[in-house]
Amino acid sequence: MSAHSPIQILLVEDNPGDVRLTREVLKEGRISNTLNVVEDGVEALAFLRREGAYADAKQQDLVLLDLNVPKKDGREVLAEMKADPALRRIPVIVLTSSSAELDIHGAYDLHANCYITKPVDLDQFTKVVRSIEEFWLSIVKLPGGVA
Amino acid sequence: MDPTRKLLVVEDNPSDLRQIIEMLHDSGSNMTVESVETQAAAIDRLAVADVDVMLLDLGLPDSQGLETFVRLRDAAPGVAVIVFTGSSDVEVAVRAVREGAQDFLVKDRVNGELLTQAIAYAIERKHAEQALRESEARFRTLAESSPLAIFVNREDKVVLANPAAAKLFGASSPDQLIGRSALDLFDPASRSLVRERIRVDSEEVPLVEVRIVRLDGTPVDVEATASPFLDQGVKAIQILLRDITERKAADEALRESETRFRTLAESSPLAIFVNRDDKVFLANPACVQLFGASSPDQLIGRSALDLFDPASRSLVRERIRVDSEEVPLVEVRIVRLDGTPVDVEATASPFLDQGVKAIQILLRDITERKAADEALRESTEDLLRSNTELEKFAYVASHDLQEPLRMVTNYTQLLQRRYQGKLGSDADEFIAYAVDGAARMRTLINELLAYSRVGTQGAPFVLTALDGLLDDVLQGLEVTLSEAGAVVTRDPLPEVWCDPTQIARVFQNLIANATKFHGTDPPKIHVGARLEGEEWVFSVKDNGIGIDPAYFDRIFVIFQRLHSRAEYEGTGMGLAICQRVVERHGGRVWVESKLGAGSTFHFTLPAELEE
Repeated sequence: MSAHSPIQILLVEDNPGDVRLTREVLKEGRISNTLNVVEDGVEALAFLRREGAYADAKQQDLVLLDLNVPKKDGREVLAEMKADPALRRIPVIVLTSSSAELDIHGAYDLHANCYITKPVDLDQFTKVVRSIEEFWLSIVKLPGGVA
Repeated sequence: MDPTRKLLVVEDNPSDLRQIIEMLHDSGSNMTVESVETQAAAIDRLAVADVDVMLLDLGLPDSQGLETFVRLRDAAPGVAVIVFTGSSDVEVAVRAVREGAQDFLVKDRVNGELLTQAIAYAIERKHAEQALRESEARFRTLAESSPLAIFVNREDKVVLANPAAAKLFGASSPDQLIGRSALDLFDPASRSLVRERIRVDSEEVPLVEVRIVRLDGTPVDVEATASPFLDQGVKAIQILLRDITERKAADEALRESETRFRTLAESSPLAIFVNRDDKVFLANPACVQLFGASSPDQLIGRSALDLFDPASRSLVRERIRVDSEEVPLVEVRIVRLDGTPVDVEATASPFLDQGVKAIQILLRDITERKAADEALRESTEDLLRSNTELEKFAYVASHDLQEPLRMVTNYTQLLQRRYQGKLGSDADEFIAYAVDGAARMRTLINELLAYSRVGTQGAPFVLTALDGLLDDVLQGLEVTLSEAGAVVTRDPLPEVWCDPTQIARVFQNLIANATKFHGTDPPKIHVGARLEGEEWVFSVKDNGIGIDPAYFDRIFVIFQRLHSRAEYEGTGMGLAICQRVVERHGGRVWVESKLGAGSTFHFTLPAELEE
């Protein structure tokens, strides 16, 4: 992974409001990134595996995954990613509106790398995105370059 | 004559003495004879009480006439006396007999046979007199000490009365009764009965109950009996009276109590029957009705066991036994005469019925109660189900509302962040309202979520030191408290079993309210705790604006607010949540307050609640 090429982030989210908000907040940040968006679980896996229309897609460095997406929900996407040797190393941040214990435990059982409840407040949301940038995109050594 | 009898001859004339001894000898008497010549010697000799009879010459050297007899009679009251006198003194001798001498003999007209006969008769007479006197004394003692009132009536006048009679009539002594008309002693209402039954010419009078009148006029119920007798040739009647006031009261009490019990049994809604020798012996109307009989006769004589449903019989046989103690309540099933079963609650008490072991069985029809229990159980289940559904609904609703809310909040805030001051003052104001509205809705939804989660998402109870918990709550409220200038004081708090997150929320809500609803003075808040019986009573007291008692119930209802948003912020959910939390812990919450005089919120938690 080159320090100059932008970080590839896949956002799996069917709510355009959330997509735009994430995009806006990321835009205000310091890290150069490319935000790729898919609206359902089937598309997400296809994108990650560069299947069909996504044959030219780049390898993703980070996945922001909403649990409640159509066709295949986030849990299934997570399960398939973690069962797939080619995808399991990609860090998955579950970013969802649920704060139910069942969802949180379920996600970690499926080896989610972290679980974040979408804050209602913009300042809070901004802080979350900054923290993701700070931690996952600058501190953490991602596996992408090695693969 | 009995040789052991001893005769003392008191005679100073030697020839008279010789004559007596010869007469006795001639008549074949072998009794012991002694003689003395003076009264003084006689008294000395009589001091040894072995003399049976005395032959007494009234003219002695140291005493003359009747006086001689009187002195010696008194010196030896048990000795028979025959006065031995000359023919000129017969009159004195007769007086001596009147004074107690048994006989007299005239010296010149006596012979041996007459003398021995006189001696024998005198001894016998003396014995008879003595026996009579003793018997009289015994009877007198008996009458004097008798608890029965006794009086003797002669010619309709009281001639004798014992102390018990005096006491019965309230007289200070029997003398107060003597001379009164006996009939007057009885109550006017009893007089005809007395006149008819207690008569000198009647036979022994059987017991009659009459009423007497005491001297002070108060009536007393007595039981009377009487025996007519001849008193010195005059027909008299001895009347015995016994005060039966107490017995009558006891009889009355017993009768009343019997009547009460009978009435109780007759009017009891409980079916009662008595079982003896496994046969129904008695049944009250409620029992007749319970079994669908038309009269007790339809039940009496039946086997009691047959009255129960076959499925209940082993229980009945085991529990309802004549040799058991009091039987605790058992639920069994009886069978009515028409065959329909009825659920009853039965209890029984064994007792002795005229010496026979019997058992009294009480049955209560519990058909309605069982139906009511069932209905209650069903409606409780319904309520529980609808409560659960409501909670689920509230949870889902508030959860699903989060999504659109997030959009509204985030984008209005994004608008504010990027375009504040760029679109004109109207736009700034509109955006500010939108941001504020979204923030309020967020609070509301969070509270609704919290409210719905009290029941469904409560944590298990753990033993919690409330002092530390309150420390945390106060720390969380630090900014709020210091902005309001609030002073919080507190009692030492105990450890209780609770869901600490929920109880912290209760303290937080109550303290936040106490801070929020303050008047012109800065808030002064006291957190109290005291043990009352089996529970802790906690209180949060403030000096704030107070609450009109008319609203006491309303403030605990979800979404109910007493103030406009401009006056005091709030969702109207805080106290509703407090109430749900406290109720989940088995406690109660209430408020004491007056408008303008501060409020005290109380809630209880069980002192010993294991999880």
